[in-house]
Amino acid sequence: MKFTLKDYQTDAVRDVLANLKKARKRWLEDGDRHAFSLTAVTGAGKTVMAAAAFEALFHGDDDYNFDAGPGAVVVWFSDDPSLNEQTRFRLMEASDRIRHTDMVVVENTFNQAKLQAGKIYFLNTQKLGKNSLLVRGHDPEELDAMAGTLLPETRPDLRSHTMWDTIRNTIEDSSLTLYLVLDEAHRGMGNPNAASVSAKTTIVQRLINGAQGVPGIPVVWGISATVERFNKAMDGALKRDRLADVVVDAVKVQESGLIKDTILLDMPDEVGDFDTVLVRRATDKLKASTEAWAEYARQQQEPQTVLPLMVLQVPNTPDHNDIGRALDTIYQQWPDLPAGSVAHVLGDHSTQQFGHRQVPYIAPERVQDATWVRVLVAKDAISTGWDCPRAEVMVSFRSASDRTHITQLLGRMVRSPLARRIPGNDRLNSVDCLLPKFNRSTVGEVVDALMKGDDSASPPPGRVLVNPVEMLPNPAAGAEVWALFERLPSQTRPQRGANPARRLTALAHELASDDILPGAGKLAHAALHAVLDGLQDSEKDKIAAKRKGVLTVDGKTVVADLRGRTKSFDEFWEDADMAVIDDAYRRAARVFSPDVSRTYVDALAYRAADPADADEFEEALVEARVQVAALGLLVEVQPIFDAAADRLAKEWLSAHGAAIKRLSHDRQESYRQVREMSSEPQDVDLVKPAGRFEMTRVRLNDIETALPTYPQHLLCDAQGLYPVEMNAWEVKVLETEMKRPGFRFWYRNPQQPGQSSLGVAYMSGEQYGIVRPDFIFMATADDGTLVADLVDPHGLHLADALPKLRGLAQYAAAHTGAFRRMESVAEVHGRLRVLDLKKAEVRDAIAQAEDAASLFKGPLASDY
Amino acid sequence: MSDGFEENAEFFTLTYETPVSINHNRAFERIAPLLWLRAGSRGPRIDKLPAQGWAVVDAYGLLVEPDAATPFVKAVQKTPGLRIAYIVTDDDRRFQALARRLPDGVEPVRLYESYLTNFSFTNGD
Repeated sequence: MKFTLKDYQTDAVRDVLANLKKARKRWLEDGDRHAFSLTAVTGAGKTVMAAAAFEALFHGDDDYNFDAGPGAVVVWFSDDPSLNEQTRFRLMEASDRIRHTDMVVVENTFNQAKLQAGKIYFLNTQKLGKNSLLVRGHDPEELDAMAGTLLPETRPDLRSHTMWDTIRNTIEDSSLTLYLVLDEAHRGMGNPNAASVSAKTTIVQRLINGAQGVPGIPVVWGISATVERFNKAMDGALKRDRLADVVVDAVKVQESGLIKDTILLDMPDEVGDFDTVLVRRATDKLKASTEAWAEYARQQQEPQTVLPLMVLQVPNTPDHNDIGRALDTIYQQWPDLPAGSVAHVLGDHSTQQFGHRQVPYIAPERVQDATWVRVLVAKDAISTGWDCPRAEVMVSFRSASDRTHITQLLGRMVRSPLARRIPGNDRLNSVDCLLPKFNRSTVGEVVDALMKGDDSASPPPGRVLVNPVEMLPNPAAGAEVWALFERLPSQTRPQRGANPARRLTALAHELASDDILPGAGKLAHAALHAVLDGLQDSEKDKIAAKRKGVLTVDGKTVVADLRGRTKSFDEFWEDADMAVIDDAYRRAARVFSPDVSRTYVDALAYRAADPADADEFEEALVEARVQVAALGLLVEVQPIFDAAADRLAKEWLSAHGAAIKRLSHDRQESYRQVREMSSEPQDVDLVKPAGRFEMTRVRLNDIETALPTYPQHLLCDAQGLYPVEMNAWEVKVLETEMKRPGFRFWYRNPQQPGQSSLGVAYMSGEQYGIVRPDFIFMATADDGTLVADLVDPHGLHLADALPKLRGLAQYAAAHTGAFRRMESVAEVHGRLRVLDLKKAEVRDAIAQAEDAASLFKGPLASDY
Repeated sequence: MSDGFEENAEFFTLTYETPVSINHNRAFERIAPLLWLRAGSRGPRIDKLPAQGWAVVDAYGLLVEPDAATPFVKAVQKTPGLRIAYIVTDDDRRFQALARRLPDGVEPVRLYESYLTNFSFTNGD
């Protein structure tokens, strides 16, 4: 892979490969057919995950513990040839092992007896439609029906196989395994008509179930935005077992920062014609966003500046003069916008006259890179699979009845432009949508559609805010308050299958790249080599035994004496050949990481032989590989080795922490990822938020009320107030804390992931989750120093109350110095009870407890 | 004709190499022409393992020591028309971290991982 997968992507690929492995095995052994789906929200990188899975499918992958299938053939099937082209391009972009010759677009001239192993074939509905050259003449019934006419439709000339023949031959070849990937991710976009939908269903059914002598495809892997949609496609599948669907957790996608955190909806408060008002407002937002990105690029010394784009969504039959007027408004409001910054992606691919302006057409897929386009006129979701991360503002002139068009188009704009979250800056992590044709009562439907998703799109995991107000850092909070805030430790979500040696190598690489520690990669490997040397010394005898195991293959010969009816076993030993040694070495490389194993073999060989003598040195290399393979077979080696790698990584992270903090955000992000590559929760510092959007009013059953506001929050509006919706016990906690002597500030810890939200890892079931405590309080202690208190009121009715409490207790044990008080509050029988997590006996009781409620009722808790 | 041709002819000898010596970067001199051919057979060739850990010529670059990533990437950026960056590492993440920093249009190729799978014909299967 050329791209580094995000943690959740790795998890999903691992699960997908586990399914593929199972399906392959059951097909080869029992001829059973299987299907499963991979579902993820828009923007989660489904093609990248597919690329990683294909690499493993064709070439094997030790990390995922997946062996290559020598006969793997993939058919990628979607509605639309242009969508297939995009997928092909993206696969090529993401992978360094799938070559462009391995990806074949099936054209009408395609004529092969069988599909070839190790290739991905792209097919779409039309290619298998009744009149396509690829399938003509396959259907005998069709031929019969035509036989009466003078010229029956027969197979085209020079065509020995129809596509269906090819598919049958491929499935029937026992050395090949055919996988069908159904790309359903973009279905429903652009509102296809009923006929095309039913044509597609028939063809998909035919591929899955088989017909007229063509067997169904053994393994079906659906990629889609919602599980329901794949289920719908699998409706009517015969004799096919379902494997567990792989569902990507939307929260993790959001944690990764690939998707914008917030969608801001603006609409007029009153009824009337507000088109120009909101276009002006949108232009201001575009301008502000342009400046903010330019400023950010300057501050971070980013080579590329994000140039934001505004999408102007027009109704199905737009009045061109109206569009012209809107464009005029934009130019009036922002005279510095260069002339000719407008383009359109309407159905008519020619230059259009809008008012007195000539606006050229641009192909949708070029919009992202054609930076001269700053305003884009569009009708619906533009095109399937289109997305434009730099689109930051949208004005829609569509009315309430068109809400799906609006949500679909908005769904294309949620990817973050730099593929990472901008620390602490809510503005750059959000996308604006202005709806002049809406009012307060109709906007609810859009919000609902965005939050809950519909058939064609899953909901984006971020927040959706209507007419929000930006909260800025409280001017009353001085530098010392924020300094304290930034020192508070937040935890990251631990990762499955993290490998300490890889993490150390990655860290060393970044440190060397940033010139913080020159030659860090060499230093890291030298340190690990020393550990391995030590192990070789201390475990000499065991290694010698394992070495013999690597170098010999033992087996048994059965001698059956037919007359005497006896059997005897003779054991034999054969010398291992290169393949066996390589296999053993690969296993060891899994333990020590491939790179460390390679450099260690090098190092051993250099010690043993003179590099000038090629033959002797090669002997030494082979010898060293055997040695490493033997070392890898020792079970007790891995924990020692991992601990050493972990220790060094920790040392470096703390020694160079200050230097890392001085780097640009982009570089810091790399280190953050390295930090997170651990199976233990890792501490990261909080980031001072530059601002945060909050709604000031809430709507419940058509009655709108203003949210209660409170003073002394770390972020506040111009009046120093912060609006917040809280339940009864949260209000009580806040009021109690505010009355305590020395109280200075409070902070409502955001419940959404981000660098300004304090997270604590907890283990529930086999999965790690992140709990975000509700409140952080800042107070002046008796001795005059500024201290922080962590108070987390939470409900006991949820099943994960106890795991969360355990997570908090472990966090408290590890960070007693960071807070003055660490308390968990819950309501029991109408009274608020509190557990002091700083007390060791309370933490012990939490570790032993069966349920959370009894703890709060018990003697260890006290009244709040 | 007396001025010679613009093009040159060069003859290479095809040899067999063991995977071990390739994998451990011992046969670089014999691999070198192939890397040059794959990058478009244009401009000078890197024939010896560079002492400083990396080298950049007209059509391609070679990074043997990933610790020297930063000067390598800078040199690549300064060479217009460069097509391929060969990177010697067995670590996925190091390769990806480097791939991310290369300018658009430069294809990262991993040595000898992708190389061996591309050119070997007896894998022992």
